[in-house]
Amino acid sequence: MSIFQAILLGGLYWIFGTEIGYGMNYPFFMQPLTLGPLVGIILGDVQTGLICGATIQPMYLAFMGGGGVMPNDKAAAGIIPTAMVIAGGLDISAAVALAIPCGLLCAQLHTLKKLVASTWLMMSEKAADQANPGKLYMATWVYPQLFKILLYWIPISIICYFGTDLVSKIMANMPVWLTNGLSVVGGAMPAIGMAVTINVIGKVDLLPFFIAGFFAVQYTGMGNIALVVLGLFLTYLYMKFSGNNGEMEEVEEILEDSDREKLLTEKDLMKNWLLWNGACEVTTSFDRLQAQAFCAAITPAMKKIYGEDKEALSDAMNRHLQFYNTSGNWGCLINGIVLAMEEQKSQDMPIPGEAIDGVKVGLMGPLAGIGDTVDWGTVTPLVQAFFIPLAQAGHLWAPFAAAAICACYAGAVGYSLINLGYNLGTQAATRILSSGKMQKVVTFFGVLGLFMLGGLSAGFVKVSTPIQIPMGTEFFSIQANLLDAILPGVLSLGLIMAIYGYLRKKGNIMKALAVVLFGSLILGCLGILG
Amino acid sequence: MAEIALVRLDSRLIHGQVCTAWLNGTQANRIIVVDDSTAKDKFLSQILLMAAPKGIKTEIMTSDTAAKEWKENQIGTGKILLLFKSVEMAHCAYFKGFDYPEIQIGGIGGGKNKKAVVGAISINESECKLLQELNDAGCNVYFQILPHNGKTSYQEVKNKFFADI
Repeated sequence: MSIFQAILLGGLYWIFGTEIGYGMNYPFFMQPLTLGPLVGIILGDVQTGLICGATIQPMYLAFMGGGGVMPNDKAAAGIIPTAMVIAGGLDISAAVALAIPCGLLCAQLHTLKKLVASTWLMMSEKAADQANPGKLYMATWVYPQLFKILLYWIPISIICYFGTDLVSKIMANMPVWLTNGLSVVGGAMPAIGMAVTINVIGKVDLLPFFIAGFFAVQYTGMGNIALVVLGLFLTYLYMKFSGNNGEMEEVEEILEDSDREKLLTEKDLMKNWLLWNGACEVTTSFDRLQAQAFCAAITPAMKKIYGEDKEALSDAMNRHLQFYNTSGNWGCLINGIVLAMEEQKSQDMPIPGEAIDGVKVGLMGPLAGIGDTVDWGTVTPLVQAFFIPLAQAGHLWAPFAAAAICACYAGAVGYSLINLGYNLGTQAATRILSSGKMQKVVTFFGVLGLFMLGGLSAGFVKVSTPIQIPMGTEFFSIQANLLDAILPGVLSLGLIMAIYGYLRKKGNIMKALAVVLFGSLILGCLGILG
Repeated sequence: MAEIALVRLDSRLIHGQVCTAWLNGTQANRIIVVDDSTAKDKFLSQILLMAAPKGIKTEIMTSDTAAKEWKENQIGTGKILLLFKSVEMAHCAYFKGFDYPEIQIGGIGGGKNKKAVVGAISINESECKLLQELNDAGCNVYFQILPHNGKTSYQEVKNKFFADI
């Protein structure tokens, strides 16, 4: 690997690290699926990068943090192992095993980012007191990204550059039993991604759909499109005949939609949505998380609404520097509502600042709940899972198609919600949350999702045993003659269900990762699995 | 007689994965939110009830009602996840007679004059004093965000961040 290539790799990681663009950045730059081929382009072997990324992605499906915490750095887990495979000769199955420690290690860099973020926050507070938007923007858009060159770019470049030689030496001396062990790890780890996704989608009584999908593919070998068609049909049947889509009672619309003069235009809304999308994860300090980003995104509109009244502007800026944390796309509803309320406030309607705070605080939790579950727990994993086999087959466009779909989805949700919030005000929240439609949408995705995931997992998770029992002159293969004859793929399914059961009770994903990693490695090295 | 599975203080109340994790971990089948201002605000109450997970009975009570029901019949039946929004509420309800044995501080937003003590949990001096009173009254106060995080005792936090009060 040349120094120049190492620099480019660090730069790629930095692009993710800026986290500018919740809906655009994450689908393209946080996923091993897309990072694989990008690393491949940098290092001159796109096909390997493509396959590598597609092999690492499955175990990370539906991986997300709660409460602003990033437990595992998917970008590092995608970039570093892929680079090691292409430039260092690392075996692909070992790449899956390497991804975990890389992800864990680099997640600590993000903790550091959060600690330093307090500095940018203090700058924002000063800017708010002085009603100086310029300072706020510098502290949000410029300084953190410069700092991240030190925090992200340089370390990753160093790891990639010096890691390659180390990996080459290790690979040259690796004994066969260890290689076998690592390939077992590669087949077992995706089970974690499957189990996590099932757990997030959430409903135990929908589990049969997962199992149905799994065996549908095991017995028939049907392709993805056929799986989708069948899945849609089954979901339709379920939605039609299950009685639990009861009508929600009519919710009285409490707050009058007052006649306010609308000062903000379509362009202003678009601007706020883009800025929020751009900033929401850029600099999140532990004590206030997304507060600074919310403020930076809303200040242009505040400047327009409060005009020359510096005191009111400073007031508004300070108001929006309070603790805030929600899901990036669905949270846009709050942006819209807050814009409407601030507009009313500026026109001397009796809306105290506390009322606006109250709405933000009241809504950020519920929207985070819906948003994270639907966006990161259901839609993204499903889209990715669909395109992963295509990527593994060597189609370069597949990862980027998946990312583009996710980005468009994010845009559609965010943009329509900010408009809804602005036009309806607080009623928008009631309408979204109380509508039976939300429940139906969530259920629809749940059923289809589980079925699809079951079918796809038949291809992702490969757990089998090579043990053969000598019987006279012949050998009785436990896998082929016994297990496959009864239920093909039963070991794989068993692993997924075991992890899922554990996550439901205790929920410690890190422990599950460690157990599966070391368990499959040891069993693989011993020849019990393989 | 209801069993209190968990008393948790979280300024964002019911939100996403955090709530799911604790509901799964405690197997609670009722959620009770004790907060005076939310109980009196129709809009916020509505939002909260709509955000609650389906299949779990969710109620909002004022601190007076909570204390009264606790003294009368331990708030009825079932396994309860009790949520407070603020330190003030937790303190207020306790000293009105709702003397829960322990409280988990799971999330408090930061702000001016607050210190981040455990992850994204931030408290200021006055909140610390209220927690001290709870602690002195015999309530076990600890900090924990998610089930797989460790527990940090109130004493640890006080010694580290507010040793001089």
